[in-house]
Amino acid sequence: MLLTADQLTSLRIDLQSLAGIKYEPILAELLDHYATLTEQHMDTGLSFGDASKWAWNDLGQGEGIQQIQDDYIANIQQQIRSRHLAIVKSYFRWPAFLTTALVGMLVYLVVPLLPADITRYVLLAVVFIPTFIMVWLERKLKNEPTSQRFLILEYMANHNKQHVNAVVISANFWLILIDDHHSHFLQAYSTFIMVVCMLMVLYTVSFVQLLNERFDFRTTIA
Amino acid sequence: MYVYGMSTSPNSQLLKGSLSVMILRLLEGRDRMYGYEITQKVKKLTAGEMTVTEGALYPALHKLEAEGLLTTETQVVDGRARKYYSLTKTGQTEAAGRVAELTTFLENLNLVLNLKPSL
Repeated sequence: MLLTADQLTSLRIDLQSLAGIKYEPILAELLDHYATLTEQHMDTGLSFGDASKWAWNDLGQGEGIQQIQDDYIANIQQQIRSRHLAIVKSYFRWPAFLTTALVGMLVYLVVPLLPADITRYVLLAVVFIPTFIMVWLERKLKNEPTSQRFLILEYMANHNKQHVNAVVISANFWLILIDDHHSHFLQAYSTFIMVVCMLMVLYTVSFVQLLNERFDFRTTIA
Repeated sequence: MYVYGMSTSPNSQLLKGSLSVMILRLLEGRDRMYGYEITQKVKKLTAGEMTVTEGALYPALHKLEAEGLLTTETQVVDGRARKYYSLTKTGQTEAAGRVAELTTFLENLNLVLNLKPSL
């Protein structure tokens, strides 16, 4: 006996409210299983209400069903971690280090040629770049909530180095207090900050690439 | 009766490792299968002696999918999305290997279990 759209909605609500299933891929899969079990019980002559109760029991009830979701989340999180590590490793190879060193050298040579004020403003702007990228990314993820994006957002919240950004940004505000007689310090400091920012930008961009990876929904629609 | 579930009994732990091999073996002989179908197939093949619970089945399927041994496609059936699993190329090779490995293990286990006291 096939279920009606209303009956399917009722089963979906059971999964969401009684078992706390919130990730769409797992919800769709469990709904199909729950619905099939309910149909089997209805074929024996039970009403929809009784059949769904038996099916719920067969499915493992709230706790058992939640465990399936927990395993699913753990599985996806493991994939996200592995993939992010691979992405970060792929960035931090000799071409990236060479480019960073060259940029650092360029900054070291150029800073003495610039007025100190310009250098200060440029540095203040540069240190915000990783934070801007991260804020943009978080807003993008919040506006397009899918299961995978939500899990990546959680992962980012746990792993992004915003506190490092905060330290670098606040350290730069002290530059305002440095007068023009400390040009050697400014030159060395600018080089150091530029290198740190390059590395931080690379790390931040790794999250952008992570966002474009697919961990679930690899399924094709027939 | 054997239950592939979330129980931590010695039996359950012993059987848990072989669930993925069973799934791979079932899919070897079929184009594709969905979750409920797998549970029913196991039940039918073992005349109800073995039950795979959903709590054990889906994590195993998702793990095999993450390992790249299974691929999935979704089709709308009876008004709901149904996720079908099938073996990838790697999965086909891996299935043959894992089935052979488990078979050898069971044969050896059988030899030990059937050991006569006098030996």
